[in-house]
Amino acid sequence: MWTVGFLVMFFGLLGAGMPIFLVLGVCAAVLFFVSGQPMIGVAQNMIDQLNSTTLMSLPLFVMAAAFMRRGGVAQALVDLSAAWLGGIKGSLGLVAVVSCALFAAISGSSVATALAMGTILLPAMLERGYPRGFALGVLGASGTIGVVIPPSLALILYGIVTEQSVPRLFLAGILPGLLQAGAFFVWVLYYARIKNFPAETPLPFRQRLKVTLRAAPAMLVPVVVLVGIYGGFMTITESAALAAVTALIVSVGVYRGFPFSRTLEVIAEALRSAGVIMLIIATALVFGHWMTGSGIPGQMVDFAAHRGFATWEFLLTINVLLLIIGCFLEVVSTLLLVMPILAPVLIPLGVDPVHFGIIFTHNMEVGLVHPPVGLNLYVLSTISDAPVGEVIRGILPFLIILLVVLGIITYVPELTLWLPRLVYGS
Amino acid sequence: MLAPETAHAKGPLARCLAAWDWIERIVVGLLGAFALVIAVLQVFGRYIDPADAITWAEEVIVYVAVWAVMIIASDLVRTNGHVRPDLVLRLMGSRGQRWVESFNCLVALAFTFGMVWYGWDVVSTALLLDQRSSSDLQFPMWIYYLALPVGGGLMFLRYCVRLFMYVFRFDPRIMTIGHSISHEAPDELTKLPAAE
Repeated sequence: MWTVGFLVMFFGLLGAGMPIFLVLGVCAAVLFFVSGQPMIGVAQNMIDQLNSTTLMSLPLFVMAAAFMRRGGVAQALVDLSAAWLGGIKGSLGLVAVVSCALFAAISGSSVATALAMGTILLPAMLERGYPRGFALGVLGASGTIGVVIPPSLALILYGIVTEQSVPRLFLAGILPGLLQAGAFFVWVLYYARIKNFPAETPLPFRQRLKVTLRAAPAMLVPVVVLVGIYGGFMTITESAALAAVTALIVSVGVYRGFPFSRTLEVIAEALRSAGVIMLIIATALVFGHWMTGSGIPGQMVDFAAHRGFATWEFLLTINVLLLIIGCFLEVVSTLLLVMPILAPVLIPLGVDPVHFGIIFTHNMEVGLVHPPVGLNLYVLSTISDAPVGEVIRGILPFLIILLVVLGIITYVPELTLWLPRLVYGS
Repeated sequence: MLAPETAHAKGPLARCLAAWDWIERIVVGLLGAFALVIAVLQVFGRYIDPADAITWAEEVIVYVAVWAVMIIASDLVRTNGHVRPDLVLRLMGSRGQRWVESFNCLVALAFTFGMVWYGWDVVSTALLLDQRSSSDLQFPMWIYYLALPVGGGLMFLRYCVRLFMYVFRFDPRIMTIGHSISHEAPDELTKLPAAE
């Protein structure tokens, strides 16, 4: 009876369009009240859950992304890719895939990537005669690479909610991210050959070097993060702060994307985006705290074990469930709504939580380009003035590729776990 | 959708609201900048002058960032920036949206009031017990805990204004859901030139 009441309240509040942090907070408060726990526990839990140094890497990475987005970095990366891929048919499509993967390694956000690359590459592709649907499809789909390639905000959150090592998750995301980018690259190459898309005039070697040198400072950010964390020089939070400072210096000093006097404004804007996520985290973790104490995850495991649920069946079911949820909610909300419930059942069901993290984030990428609420669809529809239907048609082949890659990631755990095991051991 | 509370505000009220927004953003910007500076000091200090290097940067970054988030949360209420699934709302007419939004405000008022009330309990307990962080810094925890009731209080005020606007100053043209896209980059989206 209580369960039915709880589910009605939970979905009722979500359906009423209430902010996610409130839905989770109100549900947690009601659960605390009903189970006779003191209400001060909700407040104490909220503020205590935020007291995490790993969590603080999130606003700092968001600051780095905000500096880069404003700082003219996207153009430098597009120029870099164009310089080296210019001679191939459909080169602008390939440039989109490669620059999105590079920008993803800097910004960690899919929508930011689609937005930054879309505004530069879409007009260029249309001008060179690419069909609009294809151009929108390649940009929207390539933007999703940001969710899984480190430093990925989704993976940091996953690490916090499931108590997994974030550097390990970052390593785990690299090969699946490259597989996805590689699959897109091959498809664009093939499609461009069939449709006879134009090639760009290749630049002389000296010119290519010049463009590469100009883009080099932009690549400093992932270098700072990766060397800082894996070289053992810095904690993840320190590397995030250093990444933000490097991004600021590069954006203001090298590319002159915005004047130094606007730094505070950009920081406030970044903290605004981070604040949305962190408030949800605070209430989601209170909700998760209650959930763990309630014994419901244990009952779920018992149920699954009793029914003889195999690991592959569990993964398939969860993937389908996540794809459905991904139709209605975006990455962070889904993660924070679902993971507190799922996290305790992973190990008993024989699923490696690091592997599951990559399955989860990849699944969320699919949700970003999936109707009816895939954010990237709307971003591209807005910047191109194209109807959402046209964007969806353009993105369809990429959606199929994404689903195939999701299948590979789900059922070939070595792809995800090989790199972290190589570095950290099993 | 525009920020409901600024839709009709004029004169001194508008100036007060604008000043409130400005102060919030500046304070948050300064807190963020401070977090960056101390992190850099700690990292470089460790390698340049280990004896005098600070070791408490990460701890302080937590306090500073949580304060910044709690303050900016109120701005998120004002600009409708808190992420929410609005699929059902989009299917409703303006009258239905008005009722549901007013209901949402009432629930939000109850929750944020709870944040203030019980948050203050947490603060006063920390003061009473003189709770300090377990690090070398021995930071008084009540200062950190105070972020919760302050953040809750600021959001409470914003939700009061929002409820007032929905009940007494409702304007369906700007206060119902249109085509809001993403909490991540709404400003940029509205400024972008459409492609040919």
